[in-house]
Amino acid sequence: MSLLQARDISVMFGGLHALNRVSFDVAPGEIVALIGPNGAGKTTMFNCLSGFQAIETGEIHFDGARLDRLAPHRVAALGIARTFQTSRVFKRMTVREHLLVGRHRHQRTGLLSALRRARWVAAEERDVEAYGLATLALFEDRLLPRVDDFAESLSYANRRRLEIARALVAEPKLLLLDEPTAGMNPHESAGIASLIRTIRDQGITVLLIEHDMKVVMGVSDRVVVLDHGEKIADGEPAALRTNERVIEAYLGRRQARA
Amino acid sequence: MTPLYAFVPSARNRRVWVPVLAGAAAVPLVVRSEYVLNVAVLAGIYIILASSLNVTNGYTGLFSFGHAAFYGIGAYTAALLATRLAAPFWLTFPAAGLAAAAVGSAIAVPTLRLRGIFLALVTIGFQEITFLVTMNWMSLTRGPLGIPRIPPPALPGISFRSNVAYYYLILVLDIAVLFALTRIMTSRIGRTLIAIREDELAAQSCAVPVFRYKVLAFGLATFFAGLAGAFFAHHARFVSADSFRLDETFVILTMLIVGGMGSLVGPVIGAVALVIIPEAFRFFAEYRGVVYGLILIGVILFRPHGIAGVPGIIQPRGAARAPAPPHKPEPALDVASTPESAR
Amino acid sequence: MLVPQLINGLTQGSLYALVAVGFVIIFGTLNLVTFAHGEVYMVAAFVGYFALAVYHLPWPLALLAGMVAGAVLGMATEKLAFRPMRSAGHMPPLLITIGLSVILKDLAVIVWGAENRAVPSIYQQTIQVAGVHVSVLQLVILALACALVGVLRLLLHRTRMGRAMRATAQDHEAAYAMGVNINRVFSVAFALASALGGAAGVLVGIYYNTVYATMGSTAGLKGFAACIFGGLTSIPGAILGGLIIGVVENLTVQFMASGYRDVVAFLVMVAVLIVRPQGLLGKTLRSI
Repeated sequence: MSLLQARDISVMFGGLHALNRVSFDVAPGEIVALIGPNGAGKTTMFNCLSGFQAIETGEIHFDGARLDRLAPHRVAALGIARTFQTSRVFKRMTVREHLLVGRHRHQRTGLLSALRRARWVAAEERDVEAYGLATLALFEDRLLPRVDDFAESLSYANRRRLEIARALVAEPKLLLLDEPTAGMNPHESAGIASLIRTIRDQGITVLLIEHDMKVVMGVSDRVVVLDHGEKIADGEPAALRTNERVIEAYLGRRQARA
Repeated sequence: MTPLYAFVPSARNRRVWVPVLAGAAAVPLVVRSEYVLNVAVLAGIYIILASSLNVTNGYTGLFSFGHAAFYGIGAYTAALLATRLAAPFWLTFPAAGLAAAAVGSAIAVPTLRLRGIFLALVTIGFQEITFLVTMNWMSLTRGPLGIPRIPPPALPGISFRSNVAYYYLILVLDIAVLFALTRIMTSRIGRTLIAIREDELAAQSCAVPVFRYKVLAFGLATFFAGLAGAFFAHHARFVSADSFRLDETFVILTMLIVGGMGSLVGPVIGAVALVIIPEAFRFFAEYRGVVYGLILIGVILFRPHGIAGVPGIIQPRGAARAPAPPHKPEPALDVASTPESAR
Repeated sequence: MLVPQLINGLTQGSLYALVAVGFVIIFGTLNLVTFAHGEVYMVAAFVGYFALAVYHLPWPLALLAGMVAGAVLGMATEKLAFRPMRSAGHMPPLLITIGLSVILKDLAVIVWGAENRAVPSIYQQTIQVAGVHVSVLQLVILALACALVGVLRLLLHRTRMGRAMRATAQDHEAAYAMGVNINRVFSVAFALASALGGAAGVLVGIYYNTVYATMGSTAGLKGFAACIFGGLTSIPGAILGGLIIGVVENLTVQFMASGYRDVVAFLVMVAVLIVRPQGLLGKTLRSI
């Protein structure tokens, strides 16, 4: 029984198909990579899955619920967390505060309870903070020593890690990672790959957009390939290397024929 | 040393704020002049106004230009209840806040979908409409004649004949409002509002119902503005729509920006500073507008975060961009790994 | 009775339109908003008043003087508020223009006093057009407004600077890359917009025979309302918006209490912003 089912997803941008009847599944516990040349529609697909993009045709089902008409915050409340292609951190908030906001859906404090500062409010804050700090352990010593620094003072790579940490503290069932290793050197990318495996081992299903083929081949159970808005392959990573359509998409038609 | 904008009064740092409070409480014992006390009372009112505007404009990043209208709605509500229904202060005060918040929430719903300059313009539109309706609805508000003979607050045993009583009353109200705001802004609510200001989309991806929180911020801000209006009505004992125009919103906004947005102490400092400066330099009184304008321009040009604001809410010139990734790799299959036949 | 009211409305509306077109030029080329535009209009109106009432100059010279004063003040605004804040987003310059408008208004009250100044009348005759009484002054104002917009159109479409302005409005960086002197374009845009606003100020003074220090605030805000109507980036939209507001205002005065006259513009603005923020003629919502 798949965790995520996307069926016949189409999105048009001014006459052009950004996505054209794309369908795929993600089973619980899988790590699936979504790859394709620039402009293939991968981030658009993420936006559809997370509620930021309306779809023209098709349906998305997640864990039994229908996703495609929900607002982004409702999608997130169902247990899908994501990172963004251009890292979207809260510049003037500390790392610690990111973790508190990330866990928003697990908190109950409202206006009146905040005013009264009821005993359970303080306890909730402590619990949320503890969970957040425990999550930072996944990132070795990169974020913990900077827990009270503003996000805008972090290095580029640490910002991307912070975004992943923020997504993780929501305790999602499905994690969407949009180019998590973009701009990282090979050593850092390997670290992210290892992190992804650890995340899966904790029971979280991962769907990632990636350009770094080492990472893709190294962590994915399955790879879905998009080109010009259409799905052209869906299978095991090893099978990709000999898939003509995939090679054609990346290297151009002439090359494949040669 | 915590920077000023990060200062949160708590039990731990009472060495800092208790003396300030004690000093404030001692003012009427030292100062005898009714006029000076009146200025102090005015500062107290603006502390509430600037702090409440801070909720939307500073913490949530929504640029609302309609604040004076809600101040006015609060003032008129209190005035009407007191003069027509002989309602006592302890009733008119919360009623004014609720009335302003009700109107604020009502207009928030259709307008908070707008951003930036469009939100600014629609709040200005609303501000002007409120002013014009108040000026013309003779049967309710007596139009340009205003509402006179508003009774002073009737609290047992206290005579509001002199400004001393008003001073202590506004001091107590200021403490209560600042206490409430501190609690709210340091809680999950405040955190969420700041996240919305920093990046709405990212906040949504954290399951934050952004729109609902924006309306909440607006309701909070307008509630406190209404409370300030009620106090104003019972202090000035006369209200007229002329006191609640766009100019007044600009005054409050200037106080907030000069004091600093997004922090708890910023609006307090800004309100006190900008009420005192025209008074301290009395010969500038005629030039109050010029002075405020120059101060506002000076702050924006040279220190956009004001005295105690969170740096970066109003971008300084040449705002730094986020560090770009070291390199953006061309997406391609690893050619070395493709089998011979494909090359 | 309707046609004269219509002419009243169109005349007043054409003056709103001139102010609104000024906003559109500034927003279109610089992607920024100025709150000081109303005060520029007011200063120009006073310059026109002095030219007519004190120096007894013929009205075309007074109009020209007002336009020049407006242009100078506008360019000064650009140098002070927008140039230093070029990369700072839209809020800092907006706030600086708020400061400027407050300063200008206060100075005007201090220097010129808060009372109305009487502007001498010109063209007090009325003539008969198709059986309807029309004031010559109204026809002159309508003609001038059309002429000014016509000249603007010529400048924008037939001159090199106009082309540079339109290119900059589309894409700052591309225009810069093609060798357009962005600084000069911005200055010219402000000068043009403020000259139009100044013309409106002088003409309003002549039309109503009065100028006063606080006349800028409402005019500026109504100018906003008018250009929102057509979307902040459409000149025909701004003109249409101004005319519609002028006409509806006059009808309101006819059929309702005159105090509510000003509400019309703001109701229109709020309604358009809520229902269709890109205006009735604008295209997509330009992000700001």
